[in-house]
Amino acid sequence: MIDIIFLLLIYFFLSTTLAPPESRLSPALRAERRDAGSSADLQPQVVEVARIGGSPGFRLGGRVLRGQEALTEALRDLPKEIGVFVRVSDGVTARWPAAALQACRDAGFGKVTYVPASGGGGV
Amino acid sequence: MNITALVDVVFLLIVFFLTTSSLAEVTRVRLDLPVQAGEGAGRGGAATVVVNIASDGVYIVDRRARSLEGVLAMVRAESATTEGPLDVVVRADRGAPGSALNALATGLADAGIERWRLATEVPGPLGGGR
Repeated sequence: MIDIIFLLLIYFFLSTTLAPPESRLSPALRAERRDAGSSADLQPQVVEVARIGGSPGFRLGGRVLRGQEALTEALRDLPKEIGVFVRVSDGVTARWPAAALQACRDAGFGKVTYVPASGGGGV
Repeated sequence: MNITALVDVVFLLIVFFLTTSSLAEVTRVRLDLPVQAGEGAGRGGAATVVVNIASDGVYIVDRRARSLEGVLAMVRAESATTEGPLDVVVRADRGAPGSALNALATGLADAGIERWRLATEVPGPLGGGR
């Protein structure tokens, strides 16, 4: 009995330290082109992820949002049918587009598209 | 008949298979993924390509550092030989430069990949949260 208990303990210790659970975010992917877009396309809702005022943040419409929770709350009020584009500039680290994508999912968006910003940088 | 030894062997086998299934995950490149709940591990496509992006922007596939062109060539080759949709999983360190992620995204889009999956670390007592 004691042997079995110790073996199970060893298993749980090993499994928690060796295999942190992972999940996935599954946005669509679309390249931004300078000459892209047809006039027939619906204007998507765009979340910009960039350095704003020297630090990473989100811009939704004319609003600057600094936290994932604030972005999620702002996105909840938007119509979900037309989806949302997450446009990511080069000047942020990978955690920021991940936060934006998660915020879109948490707000109820089913259609989320990742768009790498051409020209990069930020404001 | 004393079956204590048999029970011990059975439990050892159970622990062995449980441990090896976790150890199989050890082949994953060690990265500090963004801590997000995600949408669940989900099911991949007909074939899966896992591209890791380290904190310095280096692309790692099959535990080997590769150039962006090399990664995209692998993706195109895999996509050409795969009947169903190719599942591209990008495991980017949370500190990886956005330029590396964007360059990969642009290359994948040009290669015809319409959907990809970004790996996150699940927050919680057994997950991330750092």
